[in-house]
Amino acid sequence: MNNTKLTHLLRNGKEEKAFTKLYSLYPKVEKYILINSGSKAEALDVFQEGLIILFNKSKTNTDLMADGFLIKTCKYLWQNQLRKNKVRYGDDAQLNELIEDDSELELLIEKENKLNEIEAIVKKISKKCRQIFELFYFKSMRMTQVAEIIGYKSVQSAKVQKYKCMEQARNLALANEHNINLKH
Amino acid sequence: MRKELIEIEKIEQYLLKTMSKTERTEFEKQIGSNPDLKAKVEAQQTIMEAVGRMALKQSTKNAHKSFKLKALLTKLIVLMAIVATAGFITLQVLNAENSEKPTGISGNTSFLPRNDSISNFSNKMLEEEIFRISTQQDTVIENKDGVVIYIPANAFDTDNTEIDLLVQSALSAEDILYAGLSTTSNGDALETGGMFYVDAFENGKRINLVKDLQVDVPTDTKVDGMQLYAGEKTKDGDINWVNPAPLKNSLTPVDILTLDFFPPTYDVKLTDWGYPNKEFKDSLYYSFAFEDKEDVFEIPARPLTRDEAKLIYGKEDNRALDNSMSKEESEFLFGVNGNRRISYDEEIGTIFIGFLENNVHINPVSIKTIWNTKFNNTNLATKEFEERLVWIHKSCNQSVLDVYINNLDKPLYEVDLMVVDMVSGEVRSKFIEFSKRKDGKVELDDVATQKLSGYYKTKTKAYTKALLATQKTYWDEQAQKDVDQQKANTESVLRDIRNKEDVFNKELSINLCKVYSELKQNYDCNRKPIPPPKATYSVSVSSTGWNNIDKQVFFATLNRETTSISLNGKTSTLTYDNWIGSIAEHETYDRINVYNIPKTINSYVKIKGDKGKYTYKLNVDLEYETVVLAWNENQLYYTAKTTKKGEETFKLKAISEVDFKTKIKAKLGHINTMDVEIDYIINTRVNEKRVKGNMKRKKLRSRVEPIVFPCLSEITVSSDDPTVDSTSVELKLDD
Repeated sequence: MNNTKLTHLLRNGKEEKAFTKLYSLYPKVEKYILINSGSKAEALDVFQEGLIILFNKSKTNTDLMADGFLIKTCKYLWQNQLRKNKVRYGDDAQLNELIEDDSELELLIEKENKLNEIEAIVKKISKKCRQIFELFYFKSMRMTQVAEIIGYKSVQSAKVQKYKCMEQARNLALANEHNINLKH
Repeated sequence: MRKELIEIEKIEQYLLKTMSKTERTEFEKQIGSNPDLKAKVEAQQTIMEAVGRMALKQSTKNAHKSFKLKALLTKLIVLMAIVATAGFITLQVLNAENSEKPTGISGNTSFLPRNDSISNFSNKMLEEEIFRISTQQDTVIENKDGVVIYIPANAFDTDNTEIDLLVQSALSAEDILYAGLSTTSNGDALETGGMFYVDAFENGKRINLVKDLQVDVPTDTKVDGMQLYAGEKTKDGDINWVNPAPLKNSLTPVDILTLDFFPPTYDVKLTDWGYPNKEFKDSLYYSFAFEDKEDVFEIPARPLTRDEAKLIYGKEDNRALDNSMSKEESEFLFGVNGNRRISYDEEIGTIFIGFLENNVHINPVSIKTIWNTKFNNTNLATKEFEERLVWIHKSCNQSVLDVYINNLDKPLYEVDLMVVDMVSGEVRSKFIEFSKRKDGKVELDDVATQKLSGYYKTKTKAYTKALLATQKTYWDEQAQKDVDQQKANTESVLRDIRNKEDVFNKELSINLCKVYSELKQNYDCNRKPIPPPKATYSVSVSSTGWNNIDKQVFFATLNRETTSISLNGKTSTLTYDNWIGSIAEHETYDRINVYNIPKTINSYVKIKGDKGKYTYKLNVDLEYETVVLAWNENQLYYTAKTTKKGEETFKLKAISEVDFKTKIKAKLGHINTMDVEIDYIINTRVNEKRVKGNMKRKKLRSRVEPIVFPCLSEITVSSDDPTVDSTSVELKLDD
């Protein structure tokens, strides 16, 4: 697989195509996780997480070895997962190989984990809100376009709706953080 | 907007970096001093990032789906089937041993016996769907996964009218793994596009299939080289996949108008010859429609006789005896006769029997009838049929085409097999080849099949009538126009002669008057000149006198020769000067008419000429004007000037038809019959165009004919002889 091409796809909004190509690595990852006391479902989760991390990494790194990075990330992710399991369930599943520490990767993973939590919150807001968010924040569409797609009469009302959605989501997020802080 | 919302907007601008630098520095200061605001900014940022992450996650899932699909469809085999009792699709694996197993019914949930030789543990893992099927009619069922099964009537080895059909499917990788189905064929790994299980029971007892079922398994992408494997239960209870067979392809209909139904090479050749227009190609092709000779039979309005019933049904059949004869029965009695082609008109209850002699060509009418959107979503609207049609055209056998049209409910390969016996040679091998491809069909319900078949029959007749009528009307009209033009041509010739005569008579009078007065003889210039002689005769003139003068003047005028006539020492001379009119660029005109018009006579002489040179002899005592009217396909031309002796060159000027009709007419209209002549020229020019067009049409038709009817040369010669046309008619006129 051509890494330059993959990176190009990732950086130019064609990530799904790149992901589809990268799935050819999935059997390897799956095998690795199955050998290391994981399940197929876990393997899929890890792989998908890995793809997201790769996507984010590709935004800052142009000469990325996408396939190598993905494999490494997945192994790393699984290692973390096993560690957590050990803490939580006293599970003593061991990795057959030891992965070297990678502080940069750690950081990316940590961030993803945090976002994972927020995701549950975003899921609580209305579908329409999520759609607006996705079109505007992720697909970087102009508000005129967003208004058109969602079916708002004016850009202004779409904007107001977007801010209302954000207010709602933010309040939920802040409340959640508060709860966590209370628990600690 | 509310204050809170404005704050959110500001935070967004900050996060999306759309703030100005000063605003930004200011805002960062605020964040630094206000922990509440800081929390809000952070929350908003995480939400924005989380949104992106969610979209990405969805994207990874989508990618997984496409990846799975690709993997499934690009590997060795794509579809596998677990074959139950009797046969499956194209696999006619009849397993007698299975059907003999009398094993009990496994309760109310499943018919599947334990320790079955066919089903295995996987069947228990998959959802069972049981369909109660009437065996007397065609049935189509669809299971939860979208597997569509077409069950023809009497497909099972049973006398019961109802049976139970068990359908199970595992199309997704998850289901296949869940069911624990193997994906190996004799130890080799296979990738699967889905598995299904079909089993039939009558009162809980397994029964055999006697006809093939057609099973459509849904897929997003169709890939070549799919194969169907039969499932064989191993000793361990696993399923081993054996007997790979190519899949029967169900056909994908396309828009029928995008296909090419013309005879081979017709479309390409016409485009080559400069007729790319589809409508023109259509009309030209359909103009070759011909009428089938048909004997028309009414359905006998009587019941079958006992003998007839016996013949048809093999036994006396009361039902048949009760009513008057049905269409099928009369077809059987009167139509099953090898060389006859039967068609039935529902509306008027009449059977048409066409004889096979008519089948030496594919009638363009049939093509016209089927090549329209009515036949979309049928076997005919497929690339596969288009391929066959090339060979149907080559077979020159209308019955072959009819078989395809009349069997829209059958898969193409079955029809191919029916056709194989109707043709021979290369065409036959081709249809054998077609049948081996096992091309299926476009699903069509019975009602639609019947309706289309009826539509074909009635429309074919209607189109034939209309097309033939159109052709007839056109050529009748053309023939009438030919006759009209002939008349006009004759009149024109007569007009020329009469004008020439008129000019001669008047000139003779003038000449006589001149000669007599110069010879100082009394002469009444208004007297009518003697009529021209019926035949020339030579007479030796020994004495002079008025009679003598008259004769000399007459011959001088007739021959247009300079002649001196003397009497009593006085001499009078009639002088004729040579005149040659040359037409510049004469070869650019189709026709050139040169008229010399003696001004005092007011009639014209049409001058004969050759290669642009027109010669005449001018009477010096008359003043002439020369008028030239010429034309070609595109343009009329005109010029006129006072005639001078010797050689003169005429350069013609183009003139519009309107000007020609009005201005020229006004200018020359005073000359005897010139207005008629002008109209004649205009009409002739139109007619020449028409004749040329028809010539071209006929030439094209004779050129196209061997393409439209590829077997033509071998059988008959066209009755349309392209050499006989209006131009030759015109030649006859000039004689």
